[in-house]
Amino acid sequence: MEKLIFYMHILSPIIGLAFNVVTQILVCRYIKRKGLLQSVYLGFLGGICSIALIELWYYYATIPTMTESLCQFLLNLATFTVLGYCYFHFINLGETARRIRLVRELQEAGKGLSYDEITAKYGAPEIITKRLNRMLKNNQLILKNDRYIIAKPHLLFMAKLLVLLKILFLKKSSEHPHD
Amino acid sequence: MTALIYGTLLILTAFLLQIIIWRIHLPKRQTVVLLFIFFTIIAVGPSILSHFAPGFNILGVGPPSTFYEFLQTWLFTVAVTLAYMITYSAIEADSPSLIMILMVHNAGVNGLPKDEMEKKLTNDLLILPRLKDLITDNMAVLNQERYVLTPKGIFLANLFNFYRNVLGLGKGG
Repeated sequence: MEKLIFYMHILSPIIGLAFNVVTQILVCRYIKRKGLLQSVYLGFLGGICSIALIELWYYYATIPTMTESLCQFLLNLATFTVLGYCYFHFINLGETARRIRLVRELQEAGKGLSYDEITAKYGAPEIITKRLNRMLKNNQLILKNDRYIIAKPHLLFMAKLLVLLKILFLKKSSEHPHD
Repeated sequence: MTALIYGTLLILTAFLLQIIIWRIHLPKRQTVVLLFIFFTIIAVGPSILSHFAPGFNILGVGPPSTFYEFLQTWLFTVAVTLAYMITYSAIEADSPSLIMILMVHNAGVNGLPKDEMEKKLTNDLLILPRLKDLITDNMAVLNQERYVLTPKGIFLANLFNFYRNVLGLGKGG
């Protein structure tokens, strides 16, 4: 029994991720009024709860020192948080990534598609409209007199941060610096 | 504590190595090179520290020595590496949402009409680079002016089709 709880403690970030995934899927499928993003948050909460329970069990079963126990808990929580971030991005890729949408369109077509056929199925107008709707829904933008204005600065901050990172790594501010 | 300290050290080492390599020459397939750098350092770093620097310690904590310490260190570093790969993809390719936000910001207090965005954000800017990426990453080939998926591309499409069906979601994009 002691060995089992020890392994569960070591692997608690993986167990937490499993709880995260299962909770997220169940909420997303069966509680339709919760949006996709809320299901991701609830899944993450499910993962944290499972880790906290495992760590409590480990603490009472093995009685390590409080400092050691706290350090182990923080490490497992940090590892789980990073894994949860990866899962969130996996979901987000399916929701927003152009490459994923393109491979799905190409697979659906079977014998491949020409550039014109691809852009007829999935092109710039759809990409722009979907993103504008998302940003309006999340109050990142507001529409005033048919013109879009920034409402919350969070996305703008992220955009500026990414431009800085692009300059650091790629020595240019965009994929298309002259556009 | 060992895993947290030495995991962070390994990640920082890989990150510094990446910056040095990127400054010398920007790789064509950046993600593949990144994975190689990070996973090589994660795989061999702890063993090198344990075997070749036995007295080495940080804040009085020695390098991982037991199987469990190695396991925890690897788990932590692999998780951070995967998260970094995902984040790096946003640096490598321009996100339409972030381009749009910057366009609205640059338009000033009067804001920006939708048709202005549509004039600048064309298919050649939003779709063509991603199709080129599919070819660079061997997910598709251009056969008689038609884009056709390779087995790798089919695998990716199946993975996301399956997962989005499990979640009961539509096409996305």
